[in-house]
Amino acid sequence: MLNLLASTRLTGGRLSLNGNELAQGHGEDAAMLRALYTAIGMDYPKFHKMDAYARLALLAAEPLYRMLRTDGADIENAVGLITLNGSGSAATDVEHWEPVRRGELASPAVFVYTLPNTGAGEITIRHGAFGPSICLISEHPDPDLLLTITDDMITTQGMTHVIVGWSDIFATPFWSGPPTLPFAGFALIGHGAGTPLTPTGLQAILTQH
Amino acid sequence: MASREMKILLGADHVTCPLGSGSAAVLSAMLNSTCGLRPEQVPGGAMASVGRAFQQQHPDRPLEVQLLDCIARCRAQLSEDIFSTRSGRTPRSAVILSTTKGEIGMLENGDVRSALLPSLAERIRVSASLHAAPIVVSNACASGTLAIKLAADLIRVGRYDHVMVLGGDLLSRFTLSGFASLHALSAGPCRPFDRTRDGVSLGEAVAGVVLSNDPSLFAEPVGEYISGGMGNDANHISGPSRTGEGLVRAVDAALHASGRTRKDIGHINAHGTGSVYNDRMEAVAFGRLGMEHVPTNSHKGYFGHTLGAAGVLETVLSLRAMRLKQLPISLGANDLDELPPLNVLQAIGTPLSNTLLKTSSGFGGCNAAILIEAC
Repeated sequence: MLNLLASTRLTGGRLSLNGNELAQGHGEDAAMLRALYTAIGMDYPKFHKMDAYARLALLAAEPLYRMLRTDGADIENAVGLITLNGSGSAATDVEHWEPVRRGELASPAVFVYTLPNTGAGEITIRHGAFGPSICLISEHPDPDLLLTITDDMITTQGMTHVIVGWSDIFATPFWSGPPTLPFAGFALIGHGAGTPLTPTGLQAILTQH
Repeated sequence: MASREMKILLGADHVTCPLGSGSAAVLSAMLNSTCGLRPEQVPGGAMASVGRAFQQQHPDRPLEVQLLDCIARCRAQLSEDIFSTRSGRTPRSAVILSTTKGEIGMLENGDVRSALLPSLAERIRVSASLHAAPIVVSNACASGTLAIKLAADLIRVGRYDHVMVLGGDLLSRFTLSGFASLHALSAGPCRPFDRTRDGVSLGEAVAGVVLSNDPSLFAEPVGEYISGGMGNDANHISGPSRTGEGLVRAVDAALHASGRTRKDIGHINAHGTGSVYNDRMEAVAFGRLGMEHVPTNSHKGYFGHTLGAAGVLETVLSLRAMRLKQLPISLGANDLDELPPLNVLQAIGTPLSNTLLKTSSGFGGCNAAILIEAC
């Protein structure tokens, strides 16, 4: 049985860990994300070069990797990562396409973020995590599938922990929820002390209510 | 958990790429050293070689049309259509779609919502009468190889009995303009592992293959899945690692899971994009792995880098080549780079054994490796 060891959520400009607010940011997305970055004491200049998707994912993942580091987990070798969202990199795709549409040159600094897995890539670089990572795109998270993949990473691929995170800044086609993006929800899963994780429990963490 | 003795077979494959349609026909063109790349002016004004595969008959949804065609051609080779809601079976099957940009032309036309990957997946579910929308894997250029690994993992743990893996990406102004802005495009056809290589050639393709634990599904399986692995470079968002760390870890994980050693590998189909840094990274990694003697090629010189399709397309073609015991030359590798030496095929080669090692690496630093026994 897999346990939920901790979870983070970033919604309405509030970043929380296990339901306790860590920091608040206000204003437009970029300003809000920058305020949260400062408020949780991150010092990582690369953050400012990233697109909003990667910044959002990095912020939501940060408290969980800090916990892992404090607990002495083998982040380099034994922590898997599954990232998810509904819109891929759509907002950055639009930013890349705008100048090209007008016949101008594309920006390489924007283009490199037009892939949905760059959030996962930035997380692995930030934390020196060499283990498996996978990026899945769907309208809604599929908690049964995610728990199956998580269990397999732990049971047969030698991981002690898996982080599963949804982060999105762009409303998806069949969106019916409140328009309060950006939203991120991340779960730290493993066999350590925690609460048994059910598909419903995982769904609740990964979904904006 | 399902039995470790379970066999997971691959078969009912189909590809459409710049060298034509049908796995056997495409392989035959490769064995004749046919290059499907042609010069074209790309956004920004420069000339580059690109691999065009599709007539633009369906301006609104060209990829969807090609993926549906690929699904139909894979299904037609199965003894029973277990992927359809019309089959009357309980849904023990799934489709995994590997793509980087999906139906990106819709975004170019101003319809961002319809360009989103879940929209494409949902349209495919409806049109192909699938039990559920395809699971979309989007790990950049490692997506296809990773999708095959995920498919096999989900069968092994007992979640599904049958998984169809589809790979597809279009040659789009979106992608061409981006690679041009990175100065990553080769002026002529790309030359993986050649000393004078100067960048990638982009191509487009769709490819499909079915993985199943039921041998009766296939008239003639092309391979038996052995194992897979993943690894991250944790190094740079768009540049390959200098040490090949993520790729070494991916291959090591695949070998570890298989109980086999490097000496069992009969052929390596590398990622081999033709970029200076990617190919060097792979040479370093395969050198570290002690695999410099294994007959190795890249398929990119034939049809370019087909992004999300690449891992599926190249796996299928490599398995078919191994069955014939004729490995295509690594087209464009005329003057081999001396940094670290690899056994890059400059003449049609013979595999050392039936075990294929297929690897892919992508932006974000992700790497995937799979081992498959050719049947």
